[in-house]
Amino acid sequence: MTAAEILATLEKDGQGEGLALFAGPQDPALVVPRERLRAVMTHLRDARHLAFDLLVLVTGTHMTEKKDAKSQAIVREQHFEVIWHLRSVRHRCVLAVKTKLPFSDPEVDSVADLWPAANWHERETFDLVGITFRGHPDLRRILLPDDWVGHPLRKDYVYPREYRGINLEVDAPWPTP
Amino acid sequence: MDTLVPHLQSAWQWATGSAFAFSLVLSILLVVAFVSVWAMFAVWLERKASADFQVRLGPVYVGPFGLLQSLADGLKLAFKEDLVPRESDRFLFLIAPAIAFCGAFAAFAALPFSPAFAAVDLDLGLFFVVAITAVGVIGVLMAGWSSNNKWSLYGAMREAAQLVSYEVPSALALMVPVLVTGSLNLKEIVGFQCAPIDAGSSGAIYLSANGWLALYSPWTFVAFLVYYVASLAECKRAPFDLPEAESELVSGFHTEYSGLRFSFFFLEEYAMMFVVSAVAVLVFLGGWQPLPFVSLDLGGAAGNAFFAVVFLAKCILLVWVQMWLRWTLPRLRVDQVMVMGYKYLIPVTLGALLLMALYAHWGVRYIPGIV
Amino acid sequence: MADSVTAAAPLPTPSRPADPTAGAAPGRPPDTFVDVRTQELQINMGPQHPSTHGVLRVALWVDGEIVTRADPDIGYLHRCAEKIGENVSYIMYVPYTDRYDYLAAMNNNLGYCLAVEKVAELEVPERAQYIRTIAVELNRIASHLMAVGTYGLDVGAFTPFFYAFREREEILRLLEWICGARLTYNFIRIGGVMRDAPEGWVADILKFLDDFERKLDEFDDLLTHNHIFVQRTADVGVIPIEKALAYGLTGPNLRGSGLRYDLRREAPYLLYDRFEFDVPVGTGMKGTLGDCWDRYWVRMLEMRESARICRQAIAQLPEGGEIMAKNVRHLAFKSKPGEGYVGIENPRGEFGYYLISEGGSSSYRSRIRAPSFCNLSILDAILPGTMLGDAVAIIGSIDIVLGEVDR
Repeated sequence: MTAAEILATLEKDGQGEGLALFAGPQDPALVVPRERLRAVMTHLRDARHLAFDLLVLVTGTHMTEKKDAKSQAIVREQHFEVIWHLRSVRHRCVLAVKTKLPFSDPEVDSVADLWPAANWHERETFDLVGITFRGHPDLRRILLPDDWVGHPLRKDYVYPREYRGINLEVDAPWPTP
Repeated sequence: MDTLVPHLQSAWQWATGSAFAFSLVLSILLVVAFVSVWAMFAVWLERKASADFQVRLGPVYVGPFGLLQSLADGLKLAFKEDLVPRESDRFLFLIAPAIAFCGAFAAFAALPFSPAFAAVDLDLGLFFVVAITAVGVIGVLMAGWSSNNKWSLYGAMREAAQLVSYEVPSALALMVPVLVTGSLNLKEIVGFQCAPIDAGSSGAIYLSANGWLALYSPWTFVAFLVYYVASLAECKRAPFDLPEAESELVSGFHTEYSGLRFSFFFLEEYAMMFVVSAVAVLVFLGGWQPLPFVSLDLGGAAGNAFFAVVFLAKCILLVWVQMWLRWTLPRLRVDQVMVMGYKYLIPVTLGALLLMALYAHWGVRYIPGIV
Repeated sequence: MADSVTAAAPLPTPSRPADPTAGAAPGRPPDTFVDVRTQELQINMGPQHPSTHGVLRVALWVDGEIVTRADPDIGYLHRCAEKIGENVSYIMYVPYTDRYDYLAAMNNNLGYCLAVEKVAELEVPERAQYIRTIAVELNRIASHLMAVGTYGLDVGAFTPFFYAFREREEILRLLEWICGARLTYNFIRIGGVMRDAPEGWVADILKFLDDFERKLDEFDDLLTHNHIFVQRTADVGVIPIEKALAYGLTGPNLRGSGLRYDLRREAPYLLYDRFEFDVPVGTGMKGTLGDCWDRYWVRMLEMRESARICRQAIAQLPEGGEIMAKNVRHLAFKSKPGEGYVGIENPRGEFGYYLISEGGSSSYRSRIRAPSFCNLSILDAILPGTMLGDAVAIIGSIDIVLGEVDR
């Protein structure tokens, strides 16, 4: 089933409100507004003709502002995107579900109770990109130390100069004893 | 100091003047020498045997066939830094290896290598060996507790449970030959196994009436097997090597030990292996007699030396089988170890003891056709 | 990393009767069993441990020998692979992919290259695809050999490790022959492979494969059906199918629970639809379906299937042909804008690479779906209630590689 077919099925099931198709080059994706996320995800998992029972990946991205080269008009606002990849074992297909989050408010509902696999993926997205997941049972950093400051995978991330007394500057000389 | 020197002088005179004292000191030194050489040899044997099983070579460079490798390793251990963890219970930490080693080492006093070679001829030989090797348990417990390391504590607790539990089937299995021979004296037990058929005959070679106890009766054979398995647990060898389970506990109770203190635990392990193998050989496998149903009666230094060599060969064979088992079998989990000890070995050995007693009461060794 | 874990949850209060010596009913003499006061121990199966297969820290709360709570703590090997993907060009990134799952580096190379080829719309010549298949399947065998060998070590069997590694040495020699490295190959490149198969390479692989089945039988005799090994692994760490799917388990872990799901069959990539092979699943032969023994058994069977695929690939290998796609300008490779996800069957599960590209010579966002990362999250669900020895057996059976857990 392609994303377009799944969108048609969702519209037939009455879940199609607010959904759109990202037909973009290569993989298409289902674009879901933030408020509709849980309803659509629950339906995708539970409906027998959809049966997306395997959550493969949760990705968070910081999309920077893009301006048109000539007219300097803003082509793309700065925002966050969260992309879920779901697999259906029964129907042998994979689906990408996207949602856009405003830059000032990177919060989205957690799906950790629908697929426990999302638990660690969402922790990692929070850790590295800074997106909070409402309703996550235990949202804390997973890969970086608990007292790390900043979210490295943001495009505006500034590398820290020191951490707990360890000098992190690349071209700094070794500390003299 | 002035009062000390005369005391030392009189002690020296006593030690070298009286024959008994001199022989006592000499035998102690001989046992110490034997244990040290045995430990080095056993380490070499373990490395070569494991290399054989694992399709590789083992030590080849140091000395012919790598025989001096253990010496080199011992020297290396002697030069290592002696670490005592800061938060550890220092006194217990320091004496634990010594206690563990002495428990195994003291048992050598009661082991006869041949009719003439024994440090002390104890009437309670078997009982003494079983009891004194239990002292090593305390040393291991001390080591695990005093290391201030949770993993070492695990090793100590498991070891306490395991060794204490397996003392029971081990000692009960030894009661079967005691029942048959009527003596705890190790020399007499071997003597029972090589007693002649015709009481009056003499001479160097003769048929023995009883033969090796392992082949004497089905129940002594069962006792032999149970004793061998339980002794594996006593030595903390795989499949019962939980106390030092490398993959789980990072070395268990001797994690925090390094250098010579660590080598004491190593010595203790190989000394125990020899002791339990020696007991098995003496009690079940005819001691120093080379053949099961034909016995030799040789005298003199050469004869006793021959007997000692046969005895050592059998012990080394049993130790090699212990190594073979270690490198082949995985490790049992701690509750499985307990189940095996309490639910399988103890009932089996109690049953063997009971049936052997019944057979002895009826005066038979085995019932032909049945068991 | 340490502090919040220990402060996370209060210790559960053990249940004990208000008055331990009170009898079961009034008027009866007091019970002889008094509830012994025990204390829960918090112990670190630390980053340095012989059995955690890398720098993994599992904070365990144990009551005696029974684990009451487990909290895996990862990140000790985090090397910012995803950030590096944004800074480094596509061609330069291939060696980084080796270092995620360093035991199955060919598969990682492949996943990354397939994703880039999808987004950049490149077509890989056939001979390159066959060589890729051979390399990937050989790597799968090597990875499984490592997994079962070290699993034997975890449960205390020291010898099977050497038997497994004897075969693995031969595979590493073959892979070193074709690409020069034993562990991190950097062999499968964007658009094809790095180098054509040298003279005699294919013949040596066939010679190795001829002997391989017999060696696997030997290994089976030694470890697989050993009573003690079965006792240690059967009925331990049972993962039912629904739980496995819910936690995102893939690969031998999912197949060990009974679901016949293999991406080489469900979503064939490379040329897997041209080969005949079975997909082994666990059947609960020695215990419950989905226990550690089943996962181990699936790996043993998969090695035989990989040998089959290798033989077929060698038989179908075209005589000559290109090994690199046309129009790949290596010094100035630019991809097309687009987004693509490719999931392949790594020895440990589904390895996925999600690429967001805006044209240009490096990606906008690289996201790596590491199978071990997803497989590891099931630990805090199945470890409570098991014993310490079981914890080691379970972690070993999930077969993680910290390089890809942390990236």
